[in-house]
Amino acid sequence: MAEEMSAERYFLKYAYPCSLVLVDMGEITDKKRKELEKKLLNNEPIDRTELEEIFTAAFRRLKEIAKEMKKDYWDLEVIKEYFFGEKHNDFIDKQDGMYAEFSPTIRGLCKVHKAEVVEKREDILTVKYGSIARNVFATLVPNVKVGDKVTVHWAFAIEKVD
Amino acid sequence: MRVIFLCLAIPGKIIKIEKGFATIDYSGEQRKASTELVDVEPGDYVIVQAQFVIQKIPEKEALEAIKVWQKR
Repeated sequence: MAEEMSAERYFLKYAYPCSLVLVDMGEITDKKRKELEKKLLNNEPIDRTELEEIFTAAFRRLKEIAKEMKKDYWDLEVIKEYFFGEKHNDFIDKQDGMYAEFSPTIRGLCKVHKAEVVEKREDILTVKYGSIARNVFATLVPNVKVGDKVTVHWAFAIEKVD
Repeated sequence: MRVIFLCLAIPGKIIKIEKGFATIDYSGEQRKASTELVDVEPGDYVIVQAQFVIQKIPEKEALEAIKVWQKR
């Protein structure tokens, strides 16, 4: 990748599956979700304030991590530490906030997993992590190949990782 | 209710499957979802995202999860 991804885009990639959940919950309109999706997929600028208003809990947790790291909560390193550095998973394991009310299978979907792509057909990837093999969408990582490592959040592969 | 969390889902029960689409019951309200990602059959409890069944969930766990959400 030639250029570093913006903090807004990195955040929204990981939060994208949750935007679908928020629509299901009636918390944001599908029109709003589609606007975010369009910005994400078309590389258009993404508004920080809008993300902070929609994903309130994530930013509460990001602010905690930022304080520990003595950095701004919009620092890409802080957001990476949250999603990729497994701080987000730690909050789920600790059953922070609403996670306390989730059943174990749902908490498993909420977590970010590092997985290997073992099969690809059109826009669906079969990924494996631990003893689990699942089918997820390749929407956000159209160019990944069998053998690549990706992160997985809900039913989406989020990014290719080393 | 203002959402203050990032991830959430409620399980539903598959009542029938036709041409790759499951009809899923959520305590009386029904929705359809593609079964392309997961092998499922009627009677299974599942989580749906973006109109796709994305995960099976054990019945006991699903019933408890549904109970929690009904209390809210």
